[in-house]
Amino acid sequence: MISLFFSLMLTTGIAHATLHELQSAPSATGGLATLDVAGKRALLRSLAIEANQPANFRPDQLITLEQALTDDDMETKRLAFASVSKLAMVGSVAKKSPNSVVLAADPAKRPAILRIALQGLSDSDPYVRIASLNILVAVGPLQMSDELRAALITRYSIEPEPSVRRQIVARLGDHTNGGLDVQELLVAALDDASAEVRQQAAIATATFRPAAALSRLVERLESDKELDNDATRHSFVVAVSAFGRDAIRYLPLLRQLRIKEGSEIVRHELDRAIKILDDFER
Amino acid sequence: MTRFWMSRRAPSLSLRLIWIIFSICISAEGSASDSKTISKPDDSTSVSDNLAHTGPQTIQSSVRFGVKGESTLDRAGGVRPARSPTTRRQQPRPSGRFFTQTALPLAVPAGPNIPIEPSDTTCTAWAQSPLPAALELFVRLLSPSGTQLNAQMFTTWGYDIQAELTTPVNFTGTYRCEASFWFNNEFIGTSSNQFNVNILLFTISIETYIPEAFLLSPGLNYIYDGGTKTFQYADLLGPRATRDLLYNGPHNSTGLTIEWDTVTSAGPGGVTQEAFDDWVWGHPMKLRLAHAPTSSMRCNAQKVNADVGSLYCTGDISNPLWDWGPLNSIGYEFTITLNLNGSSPFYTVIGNHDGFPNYRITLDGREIYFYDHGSQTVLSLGWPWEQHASTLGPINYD
Repeated sequence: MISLFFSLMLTTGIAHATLHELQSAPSATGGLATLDVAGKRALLRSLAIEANQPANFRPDQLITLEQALTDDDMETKRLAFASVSKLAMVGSVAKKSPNSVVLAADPAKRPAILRIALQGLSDSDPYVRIASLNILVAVGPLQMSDELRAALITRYSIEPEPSVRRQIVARLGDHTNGGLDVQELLVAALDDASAEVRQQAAIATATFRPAAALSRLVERLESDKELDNDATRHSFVVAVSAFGRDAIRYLPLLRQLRIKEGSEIVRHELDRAIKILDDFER
Repeated sequence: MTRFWMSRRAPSLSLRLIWIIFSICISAEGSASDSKTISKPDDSTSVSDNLAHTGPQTIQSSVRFGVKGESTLDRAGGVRPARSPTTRRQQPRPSGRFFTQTALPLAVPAGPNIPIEPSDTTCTAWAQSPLPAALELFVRLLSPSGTQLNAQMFTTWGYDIQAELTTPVNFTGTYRCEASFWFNNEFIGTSSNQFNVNILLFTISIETYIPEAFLLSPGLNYIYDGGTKTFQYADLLGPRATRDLLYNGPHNSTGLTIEWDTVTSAGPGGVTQEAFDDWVWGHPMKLRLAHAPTSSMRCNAQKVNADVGSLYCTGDISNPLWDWGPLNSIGYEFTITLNLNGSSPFYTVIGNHDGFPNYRITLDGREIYFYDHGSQTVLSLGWPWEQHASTLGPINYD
């Protein structure tokens, strides 16, 4: 039993040592090509977990990630995109807050990563498309560039995957000043086929409050088109109340909706919205 | 238990010979359920009355209520839908004897007070006659609450008639299988039997929650509330059920996510009371609020074999207000397996999940898996799912 215990300890130690060697090996030997698929996945998985501590992430490890972004193995590629987007997000925080951690391995300083991420927006894998979007938004300025904004608006119109469309709507809501083109997209997204996209659009329209959005929000609530989606209905009610004085005319409708509302969560939100609009009216 | 005999004057031998003996047998295997009570017809005739009209012969009949495997003669009489029972005397007259049998489904596992597996229940009734005649059977299954689950009228001309009704059993309780019989347009009586069903049902819930009251966002400009972020539960039938084990659910929900501005709202222990009470969208204090979509939360049930069933649940739920997709989504996949083989049934939990936040799984309200995020932060929300769940324990039925 004791020997078994020691052999297990030894095995674990060897495994760790091997993984550590693997992590630095690609940069020393010039690439991931020396590893088989299982080795690459093991290496990238350990790097993805190490990226949870971005301050300790080394530049040579980032080079390994950069190589893996174009790997043929989908899992290896996804793990690389996951790690890079995490580092990019933490790096973007450093721009906003002087007290936050400064990364030794910052993806924003690697032009090759940005080039790959731009191509990744039209990758066949939705996960890569989302990660690319996150990397580009994170490494860019606080307000995304006109080029990126235009690229995302175009992408939304052809994007088949709801989770990616939702990400595009979220990014446009968080990282633009809500220009006309963005507002048009957000209003259109209130009628998206996917409930989660519509919900994200409602959150964004509550921030920018485009006039056309208010009537669309109310119409969907009134026509029971969101009947099966409590979370979406909740966000629609929140968004209507966010219009403040402009939404006062819908107070009677909100009271009617309150009577027939089946979800406790949404009922609670309707009560809140009615109170807020009542306060505006006084 | 009630038993009575009705005795009239003794019939002649010739009359006895032309008597037709019918028997109606009703058997219920498994269980039944559904509703709509059959109303008693206005001119319904009790069985004893019917038999009294039959003639001068001595008629034997037994009445036993609520006894499994015994005959039951219902004095309330039967019902023939859209047609009033007649008291017109028909020729020849049958005597009525009604037998019932009950065969319960297999118990899993064997032992006292162990619930049985739900299955489709077949209620069978039949009658035989030595002479061709118009034979009609009205069969129905009644739920524990007395509502009618299934009912059908069967009609034929001939020597015998047989009817079967199949209905799934969903609820614990006492079910009843009942048949009414008409011979040559004359109502004879009703026979029924009842049987008890105790459904084997497990409730499994998966909860993720942030134990801290408030949380700094990765951007450091915002504060988010803690508490329950995702909640998922489903009722799972035992593996010997004859239908989909996922009996009820999954029911998916997410907690409210609230965002405050750090500069204007931060206070001792999180946010100030003023910021907490501010429900107007946007600046300066409470900025936004939303429930995360539940569309990524799913559960599938699977029968591994006659003793083993499993529930696979997965979720990938992002903060709706700071949505970085897979980078900051609460992600998990769990397989909860119930092994009911032998005298020591047990569960297993196998799965993967993010390092943040806390994860909790319960089986019938008892905690069977728990993970505390400890020093892990929101940065552990990114893919891959670095934490592995693996545990097992006994299943208790009480």
